[in-house]
Parts: sequence; C-alpha cells; structure tokens
Amino acid sequence: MADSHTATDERVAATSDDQPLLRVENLRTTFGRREPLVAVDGIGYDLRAGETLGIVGESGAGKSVSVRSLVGLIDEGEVEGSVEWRGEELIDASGRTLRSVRGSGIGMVFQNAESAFDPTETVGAQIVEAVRASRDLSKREARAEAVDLLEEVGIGDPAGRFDDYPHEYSGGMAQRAVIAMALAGEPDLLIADEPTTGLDVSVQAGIVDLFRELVAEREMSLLLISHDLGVVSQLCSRIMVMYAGRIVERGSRKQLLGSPRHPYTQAFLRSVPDVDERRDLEPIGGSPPDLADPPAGCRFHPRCPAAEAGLCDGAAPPTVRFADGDTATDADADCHEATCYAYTEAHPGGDDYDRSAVESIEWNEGVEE
Amino acid sequence: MSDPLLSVRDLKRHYPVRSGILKRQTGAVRAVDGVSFDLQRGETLAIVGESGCGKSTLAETVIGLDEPTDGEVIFDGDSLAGGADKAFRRRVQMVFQDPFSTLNERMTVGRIVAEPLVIHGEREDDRAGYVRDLLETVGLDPDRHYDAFPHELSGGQRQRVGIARALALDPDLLVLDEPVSALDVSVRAGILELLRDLQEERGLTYLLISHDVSVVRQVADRVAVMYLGEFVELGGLETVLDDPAHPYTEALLSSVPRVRAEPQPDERIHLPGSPPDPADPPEGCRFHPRCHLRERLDDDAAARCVAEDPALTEREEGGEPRRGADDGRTVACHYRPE
Repeated sequence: MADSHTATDERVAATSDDQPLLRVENLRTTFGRREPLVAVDGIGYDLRAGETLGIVGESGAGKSVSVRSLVGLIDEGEVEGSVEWRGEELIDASGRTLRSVRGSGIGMVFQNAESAFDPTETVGAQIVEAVRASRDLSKREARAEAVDLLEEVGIGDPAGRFDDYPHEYSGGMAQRAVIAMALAGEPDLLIADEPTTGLDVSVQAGIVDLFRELVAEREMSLLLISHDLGVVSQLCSRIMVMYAGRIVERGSRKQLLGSPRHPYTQAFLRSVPDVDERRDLEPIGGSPPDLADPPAGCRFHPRCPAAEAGLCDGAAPPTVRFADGDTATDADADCHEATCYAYTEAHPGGDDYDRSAVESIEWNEGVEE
Repeated sequence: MSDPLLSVRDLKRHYPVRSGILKRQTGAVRAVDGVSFDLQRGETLAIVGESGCGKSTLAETVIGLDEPTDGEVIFDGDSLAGGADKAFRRRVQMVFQDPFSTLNERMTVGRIVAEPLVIHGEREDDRAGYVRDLLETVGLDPDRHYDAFPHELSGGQRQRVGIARALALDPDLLVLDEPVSALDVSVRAGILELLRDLQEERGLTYLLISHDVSVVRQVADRVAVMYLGEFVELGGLETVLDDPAHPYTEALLSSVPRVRAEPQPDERIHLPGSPPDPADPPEGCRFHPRCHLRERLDDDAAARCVAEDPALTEREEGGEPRRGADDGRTVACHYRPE
C-alpha cells in the first residue's frame, strides 16, 4: 500500500492481517457528455472477507450504478476512481479480466430473475454453462454440481426441476435459481442488488434466510443493495446510506440504526412505517435532487431540517467520525462516519446533533476549519 | 351502528379455464371465492394478502370494473345487481398503485384532474377554480402544477394528482389499490398522512388493498387477511395484527423483515412452498398444505383440515363457533383461537 495517511488507510492498517477483498476509492460514474450526470460521486469503502455490507437509499441515490460500476457493467457511462479486487485494479481492466472476476470471484444477483436467464434454455443447462465457464469440470461433473447448487439454494427435487425452463419456475424459485447460478463459480463475494424486491413477503423471508445461510456456510462476503432497511438490517453487519450519489453515513448496523447521525438517515428512519406499531411518520419534504444539476454543498441541504444558509449550501460538508458503540467488543464498530456540518462549531447544532460523541472531523480540501 | 356504506355478500369472481381445440371450459380460476364484509361510513378496511390471493380482483369486482360470477354488492342500500349506475360511478373512486402508468402523459395536470368533471358534466362554471382548490387540498401548488405535465412531476406528486382526480366528484368511498407501493419510503409517509387528513376532513370511507402490512398498520381500522380467494381472518386492526389467530396471518406477519439494530434469533414461522393454483385449490382448508399449526395436530385432528373447509366465523378458544363474541373477529380455522 502507498504511504498516504487518509482515514481509510489507517483503518485498514489496524486490521492489516486481513487485507480487504474489495477496496473502492473515489468511485465516480458519469453518464452523458454534453449534460453530464454524475450518478455516483466519489464513494469509497473496503470490504473484508466474510463481511456483510449493505447500501441503503432511495431511488436515484446511485446504489445500483455504484455496484455495477465495480465490475464493468456500465455500458454508456464513464467510470473513474479505483476498484481493487484482491489487490488487482478493475477500473479500465480488460473485458476478459472483468469476465473472469465476475465468473469466479464475484457472483451477482439482480432484482429481475427473468432477465438473468435465457428463456429458451433450461435452467439446468444454464447453470451447467456457468459452472463450466469458471471451473474445469466434465459435463457430467458440472451437471452433478449444478444439481447440488439447486439443492443448496432450496429448490425441491433439484434433479427433476433441472430440465425445466425458467418460466416454469415461480418467482421465488427463479430467484433461488439465479442465486445458484451466481454461486457456480464459487465466489468469495456475492453482490445482490434488490434481490427480494417485487417478491411476496413470505418468499422474501425465505430468500433472506438463504442469503444468511450461504454467507455463513460458504464464508462469503455479501454486498447487498436495497431500499428496504428491514432486509438490510437482517443481513448486514455494516450499513452505508447513500443520498444523491454520495455516501452520507456509514457505520455498524448497531451504530447506524441505534444512533443515526446524519439528518438524512435520521429522517429516513422516521419515515419508515413499522409493522408492529402505528407511528407518527414524518415525511421528508421535497424530492431528491436532479443529479444533472445537484445542489451545492451538502446535497441534502434543500430538504434538511438542520440546514444553515451560508454553510451547508457552500463547500462539501466535512466527514465527522463518531466514537460511539462498543468499539472494543464489536469488530464492525471501527468506523461510524457522517458527512454533516451540524456536528461542527460552525453550525448552531441542536438536540439531534450530539457533539459529545464526535471523535474527529476531517475537512475537505480548501475548507477552513 | 348505522347501515353500512358498502356490503359485499358472498362475492365470487371465477375466470373460466378453457382447453382443447374446441376451447371448452374445463375449469375455473377461483380468484375471489365467496367473500363477505361490511364497510361502515368513515372507516378504513384493509385487505391484505400476497400476490395472487385475489385482493385486486376483489377490488375491481366491488367497484364494477369486473362482473361478479356470483354474490352481491350493496352500496348505500342499493344492490348493484344490474351493474354499476352513474351515481355509483360518481360516489366510488379508485386510486391506483402506479401513478406513472395511470396518468395520460399528454394531458396537463389541470386537465387530468378535471376529466371526471367533464365526463359527468359537473361544475361547468368554475371548473378551473375548483381544480386549483383540489390541487391545493392534496398538497400541490396550483400555480406551479396546474399546467405541468406528468413527466415533470415526482412520483409522490403524481400520486397526489391521482388522489385529486379521485376526489374531483366528491366521492364517499375511495378504493385505494396499493396506493404507496411504487413510492420511496420518505415520500410514502407524506401520502399516508394526506390520506388520513382527507378522510378526517371529508368523512371518506376507504377500502385499502395492500400487500404491505406496515402500511396497513398505519392507516386501517379493520383488516381482512386474504388467501387464495377467501378471507381467512377479519377483525379490528390491533386484534388481528397484535394477536393473529389464523396460522396464515401469523406466518405473514412473522415474514416481514423488521428493522433491527441487533437482529433477534430467528423466530420466524416458515411458510413452505408457494400458494397453490387458484384453479385447483386444496380440499378442505385451503391453507392446510402449508400450515405450521396442522403439523402439530394429531392425525384425527389434522384430517379435519383436509375434510372440512372452515367457515369464517366468530370462534372461541378451541376453534368452536361462538355466539356474541366481544371483539367481532372472525377466523376461518378449525383450531384457532387455540
């Protein structure tokens, strides 16, 4: 590693014996040239082996684009920054390298199960193909492996269902088959983008259970994208919140849900209805910004209850690190950060913005403390 | 209690299944198979269930978009047997799930909201002013939005247009079919708040169709749980959601992923398999092949679930039908409440 001294590097140095599987730095994805739309605007994070990381946010936050950008699945846009997979740079890597990483290192599961399969071929044949693409197995061995995979993801009578076509599978079964295909290359990381959206709750619960089992049994990492905080909190020990192309808060599940710091995270949590009790929901006023013309400064400021004119609409907000949670006992509690002025002396503050928990403030370049 | 605004009696909607060269009818999809309920004025009844349970067909049949195969819908004392008349079409309006697909993209917001008035020939003198007031009522800005096109609006704003349009004829009953399912959560809360305020101000009655129990929790007074064309449980919101009696209700509620800072050990009730084919529903209790309660019964008791279709009845402990139950909850299970 180079000898830069950013917060991210120090954090990794503290756990240097398990080097991150995936390291994302300053990832930026832009669509269109004449009127560029920056869908993902400089995000970074590490994912270590066996970790479960969730990205939550509303539509247009850039969640899906951000994960598609990791593995070369952006067609019409430009991806900048750095994505290191086991130390190998993937940005501008060859199509062959990316295909190989997608085939064996990283498995992908997307929302729409139908689009993952060719409707004219049987489910079994397609999984066999995925198995043989990444592993040197005979046809017979690959078929046995495919049946095992179908069984592992909970498809009853896997040998019997092997020769069915995708449309013969119910929605929940088709999503399980997609997961089987993603597992064909024995990945170390599973990226799942809204994997349960559109499924009935009883089916969704089964898929959530399946992910939990797979992560535990295969010792895989999971990068989960969802608008559903319930699903993310059931599966991920670390959570990042995205808003308008940027990460506004990150922390362990416990930190983020127990003591949310960013006004957007706080507002988001107050707007989610609870199945167990009726709550006074507080809608967030306004709408997410147009990314072709985003607001200056903090992108949430036009909708933020804590916005201060002349401050939040100026330079990009600082990254505030919080010393909360049980850092000593919880390995995931190494980092709770929010990008917000409300925790700095420059802001009048308020009850929701407890400065006593602030550990350090990292100002952006060109901003005077 | 006064007369209900809407009474639905043993409503059925079966779709014929045809096969063979002659396309003979060989069976029927029993999408709605004998549903009864009353809707009191000013209340919100939610019908909750998973896809394919028949809840949307039920809504469409109730408001006359679809013909019932059997049964009766009585609105404000009048049977709709001969089809929905003009007065009914004015007094009952629907709000759809997807505000993106239900608005005519080439019409301005002002025209979209005014269209029902044009169709019914109402308010010819002050239509524009009335529509502007309606836009304000639903939280839109008439100066900005009256001449806007749907594509210029956010999802939440479009749903507000859909609600304004549904209110144009000053209806008594709104059928809300998944009204917030297509919206982001932060926007969802605002629409739910609007619906609650409108109900209070205008004394509206709501029939809410939803797959999302947390939305139902926010707005309903009573809830009906639907499975494979039938109600399996019907009762007060808290009675049903806090203390579910039917095993399906129990499994459905326990499947919802809770937002948890520290996830609890798994206490979920697993619902095996998928819902059966409504063209060929299981004998007896339709839920029996997937029922976790039945697994714990002895053979004789479990045989009853296959032999006998439990009716939706008020029951006391042990599942015996009871007279004069206190909470009015009805359950279609031989063995619940236990």
